[in-house]
Amino acid sequence: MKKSNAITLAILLIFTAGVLIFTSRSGEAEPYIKPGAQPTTPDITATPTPQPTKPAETKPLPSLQPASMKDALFIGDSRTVGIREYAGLDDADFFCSVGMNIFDVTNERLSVQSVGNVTLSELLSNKMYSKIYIMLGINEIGYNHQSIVEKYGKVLELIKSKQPDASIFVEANLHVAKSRSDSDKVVNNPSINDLNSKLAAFADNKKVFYIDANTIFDDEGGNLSADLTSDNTHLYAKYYAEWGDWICKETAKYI
Amino acid sequence: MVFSSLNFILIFFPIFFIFYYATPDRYKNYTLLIGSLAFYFVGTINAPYHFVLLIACMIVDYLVGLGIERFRRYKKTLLIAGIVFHLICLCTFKYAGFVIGELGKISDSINLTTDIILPIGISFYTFQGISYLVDVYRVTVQAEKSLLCYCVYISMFEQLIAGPIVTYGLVQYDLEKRNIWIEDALKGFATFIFGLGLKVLLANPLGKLWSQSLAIGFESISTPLAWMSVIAYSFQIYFDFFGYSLMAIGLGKMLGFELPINFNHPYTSLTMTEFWRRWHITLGSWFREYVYIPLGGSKKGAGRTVLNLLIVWLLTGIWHGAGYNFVLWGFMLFLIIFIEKFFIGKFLTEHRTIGHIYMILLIPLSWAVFAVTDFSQLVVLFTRLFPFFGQSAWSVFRYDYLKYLELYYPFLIIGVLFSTKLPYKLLKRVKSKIVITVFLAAIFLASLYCMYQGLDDPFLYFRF
Repeated sequence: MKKSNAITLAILLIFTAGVLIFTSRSGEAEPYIKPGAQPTTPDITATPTPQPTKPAETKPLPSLQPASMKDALFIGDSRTVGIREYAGLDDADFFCSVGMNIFDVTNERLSVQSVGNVTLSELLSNKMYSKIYIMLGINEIGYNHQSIVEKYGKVLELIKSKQPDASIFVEANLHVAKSRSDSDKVVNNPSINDLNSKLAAFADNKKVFYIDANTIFDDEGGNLSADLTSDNTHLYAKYYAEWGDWICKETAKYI
Repeated sequence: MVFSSLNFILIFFPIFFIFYYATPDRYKNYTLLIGSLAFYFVGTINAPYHFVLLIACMIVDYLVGLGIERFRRYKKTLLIAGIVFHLICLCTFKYAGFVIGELGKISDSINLTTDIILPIGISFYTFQGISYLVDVYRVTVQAEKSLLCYCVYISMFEQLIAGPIVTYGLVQYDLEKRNIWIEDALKGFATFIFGLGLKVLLANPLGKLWSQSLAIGFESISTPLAWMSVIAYSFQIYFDFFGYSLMAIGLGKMLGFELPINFNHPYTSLTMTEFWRRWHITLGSWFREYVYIPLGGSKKGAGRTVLNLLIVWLLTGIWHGAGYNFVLWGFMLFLIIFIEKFFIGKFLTEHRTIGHIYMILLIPLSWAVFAVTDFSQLVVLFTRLFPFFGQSAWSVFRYDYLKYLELYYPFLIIGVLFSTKLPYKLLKRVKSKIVITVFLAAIFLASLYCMYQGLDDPFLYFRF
């Protein structure tokens, strides 16, 4: 018995010592993953992103009527699904699904209300739109941004070729809240800002425009306001109506 | 390390059991201790002092237990000292942060940082330690002379993190000497796989339905979706915990221990009183044995019984978490059980259909109080569940419930089925080992696939 107790005590002490040595070697214990450098683009810190804290009402343009969504098409991921479900833009068509990304958007067949199960190409051949909105990027944010931008360019070319008269609105990807941004190596705001700024370069302000809803949802630090989300990532449904209104007003500024 | 993780199943599990079964019987406890400490080390790798706390608790219990037996004159003092030590540890880690935070809201002068992480398993191993000391004091068991056996009792990995809460008397003989028959080990493995399936294939998907509603925001969900969500939560919490308990029991069997069952078809209960004899059974037993009965139980008149019930249920509430909603939840359970005990319990038990309907309504509603920590959000949820105060039963997204029903109906149906006794009775009737093996292999592979999916692509691990 005494021998067993001695051995047990030795085991306990060895483990304790091991734990304490291991801890002091590895430095301060971090419960979260440090926000590391992006696995792809090296120049994110140099990306400037204007972060106004007030909504767009600081630029009053009372004479503009909000744009109608009657001949509008929205292409995107779960944020666009949220717009479809909660923004009240019932006149528009939606080509979107949870998890959609720029690499799959040309292959997938999705159900579009009053049209049927179509690919993007079929949808664009089927009906003429005057406004086409596209918001993609968050699901593939961990991949090489240049490859995302290249594919994005090809998708824009496809849209332009099928719908030469349409105005295209490249939508900035929405930020995530600070606590997610600070702790997630992949999905964080520096990376989102980097991708957004590259996508903004597609805007020629004649046929292709860039709009950024982060202006109405960000906090002072340039992160999604923590009050607007329960999971630091998705907006509460009640804010989509505000988003929908903003899209209509913002569109009217350009066309 | 979670049992339902690839790390555990593909790395820890095979390596540990190879060593364990290869070790001669008289040294198996050493292997089990080392394996369990390694398991806990991995789990506490970001908070190493939690590991030291476990070691300290085990050594304190062992010494106090011996002291109670040897120094009869001071046994009460020693018992109280031991219990107080455990309660200080538990309360500091579990409640100090919350209390300081609340005091900080009242008075600006209190401005301490409240970043206290809860050591995993503390709620369980503390209760086990207390039960051991009380049992030694009551001479229900003899104090354990072997430090090895005691440390294995507390730290054995299958029950360290999430129970069942094992009282010492249940395993004292097995700790000293146990035989592991191949049949038992295989039955244990089968139980483990079944538990894994309940967690990964049923609890996790249904949990997503609840998270969806949280992400949408309760103010924006329709009444049918609100009900679907609380029902989904009820299934999630049941299959998660039940599954985990089965995994613990299965692993215990593979190690040579008979752990107590923790769930006995609680959703078939007719009253809340009956529910808490079928749900988290070892916790209910602990509170009965070590709080209710020492306070006098129901043997000191109606008034005292009511007070004892109130104390037990408030403590049960806060054992589950540090927050006002847990106090509210505990108090709610007390009220329901009080009303049943003195008024409607017998009626419900005798009229089974009414009893079932009563519980089918009460279970998700009581879990809603448990699940929602913000009181104003809880109120919003209840106005969605009962849309009689002006707000429409429908949301902006008119057919939200159809969308989620289409996505989740198989899980909801299987959830209902596995809440009854039927599938378990059917499974017990199957005699063919081949059928059972194929069934379990399917569950195991499906579970592995689902766990793997979560790690498939680190960049697409969270679909937006």
